[in-house]
Amino acid sequence: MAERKTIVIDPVTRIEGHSKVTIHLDEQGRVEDARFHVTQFRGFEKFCEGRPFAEMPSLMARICGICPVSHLIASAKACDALLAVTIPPTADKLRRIFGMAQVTQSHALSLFHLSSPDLLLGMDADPEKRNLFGVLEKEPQLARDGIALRKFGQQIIERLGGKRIHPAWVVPGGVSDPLSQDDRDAILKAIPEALAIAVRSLSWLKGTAERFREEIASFGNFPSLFMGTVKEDGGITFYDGKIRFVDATGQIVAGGLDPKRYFDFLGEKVESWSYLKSAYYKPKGYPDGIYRVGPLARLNVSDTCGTPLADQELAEFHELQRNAVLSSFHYHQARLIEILYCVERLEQLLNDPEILDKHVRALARPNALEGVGAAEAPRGTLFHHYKIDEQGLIRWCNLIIATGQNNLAMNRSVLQVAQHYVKGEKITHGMLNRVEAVIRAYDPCLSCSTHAVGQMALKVQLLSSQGAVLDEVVR
Amino acid sequence: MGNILVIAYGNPLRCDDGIAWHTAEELKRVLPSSAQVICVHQLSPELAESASRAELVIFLDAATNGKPGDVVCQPLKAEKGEPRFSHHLTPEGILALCERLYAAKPRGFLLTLHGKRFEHGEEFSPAAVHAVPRVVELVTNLCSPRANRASA
Repeated sequence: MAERKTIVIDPVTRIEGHSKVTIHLDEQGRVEDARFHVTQFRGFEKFCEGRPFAEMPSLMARICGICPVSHLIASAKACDALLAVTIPPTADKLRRIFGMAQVTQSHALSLFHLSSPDLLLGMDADPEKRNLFGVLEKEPQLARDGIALRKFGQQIIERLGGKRIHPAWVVPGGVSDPLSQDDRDAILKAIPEALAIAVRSLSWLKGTAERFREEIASFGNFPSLFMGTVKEDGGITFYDGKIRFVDATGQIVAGGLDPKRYFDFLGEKVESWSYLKSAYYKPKGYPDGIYRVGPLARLNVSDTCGTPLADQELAEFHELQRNAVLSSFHYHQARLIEILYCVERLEQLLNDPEILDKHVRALARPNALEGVGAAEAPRGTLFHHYKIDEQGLIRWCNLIIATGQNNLAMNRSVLQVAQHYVKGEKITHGMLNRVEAVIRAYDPCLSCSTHAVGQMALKVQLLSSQGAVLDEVVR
Repeated sequence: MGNILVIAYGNPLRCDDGIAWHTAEELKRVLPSSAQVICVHQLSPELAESASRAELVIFLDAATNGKPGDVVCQPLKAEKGEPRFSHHLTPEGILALCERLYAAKPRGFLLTLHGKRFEHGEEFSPAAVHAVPRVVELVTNLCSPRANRASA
């Protein structure tokens, strides 16, 4: 009798955090199932219990070294709700600037540092060359652009927050310090170059599409729901708005949903084989309520960007596939369009006459015992939900992170790629890299979503049902 | 004295791993204002752009594998071959990026201070603290016009 086998990719490389993939083969060697396992555990929801609520933004920023700003913002918004204050208009705008700087630098890291080696050198390129140094050898301007764009975002964060990693500038009630004229002028001065890079990079990326027709067709190209936050006019937003779901035909399934009532429409399921919970759209149940968040979803749910260059790109993006854009390969293009939007919008906000106003914080004591804060993080919608006691100490905390919301879709994408590319008993680097690349398209942040440290090596084994190693690749 | 960049790196929440940050504060006091001193958790590619504009780049780091309090100063060369990168780089990798992306060849040195305690916390071991003046002295010497002339 033929044996059933499992291929294990452990760990998955060039992502934020630690995970592995198992690919399960049937007796004929065909892929019958595949799973994306998140193997690290953080536990922030538990160990912040008992802490004063005002500490939460700083504590939550420690969840992640890549997107601390997003946690800072969502956490501060939850604390605003506990204070029951309306923050000053300038603080609102400064938080938006901060958040968009975060989106820019995080997207640049994902696209240029982690995924561009696949896109520039090819999925089958020598793994030894498939890295930033391989990119700089073949296309140094692309490598320079990635570095410059990420630095642009990081420097805004540093100017506003005092440091690039784990800044504590966003506080309950607003922000701790106003923007200085010098910093405003310095950021504005850097905008033309950032804008030029975004435009140039989009042109390059769109030019590669023909080479990746097969990947576009097989990288998470399936019907699902898409979720994101939109403004009242249906425009994209990273800071505040209502939740909208669209289906694979692009039709709005649910709109105008209050993010503070996320528990009415989002459920979470725990699977025994992963520390990452899977979120689903409650009305459709589990797992039919599969939905995607992040750049692809935000552009699918948004009618407009509201800035000239990004709107042109959005219109073109919406033409990529009939109705909603379904292929997760297009996360990359969506990421660059969002960078373009952020740079354009940053310029608008920095030129706002109120932006240098000194009144940037509303002070109050807690006026509510429960608060929810939501924002659009680079990887998707982020929810922070806190309950406090009369002394202002955290008694309960729930975090719903973008990567968990993409978990069902990532698993289905891994299966789709494995079924398309994995053939027979011999493992090839190109096959493995495509399985990893589809995960990279989502830019999962596992440190965020499981609330580690180690070596990013790759070991893949093909095992018989008796556990015998049939094939092994180590790099 | 030409453009000087001092990059202190480590985790300030892991006791002696943050000693480079602590040393950087002292260096900001004693070095001329033309010297830029920055503190980072790890070495990322973005630092190459700043390093490419310097004539001298000094990396400050803590290490676990030596006698606590020992300080080692070593000249650096740009990494050859294909350095691996996903999230952080070595000092030699930063110099390689300088060379290959920006056609810049700043002189590079790595000063390593061997620590004793690397658990969670913000307190330094006495051995690490006692070695800080030595690191400051070494950096100051490397930055001196005489040292720069000698190596020119």
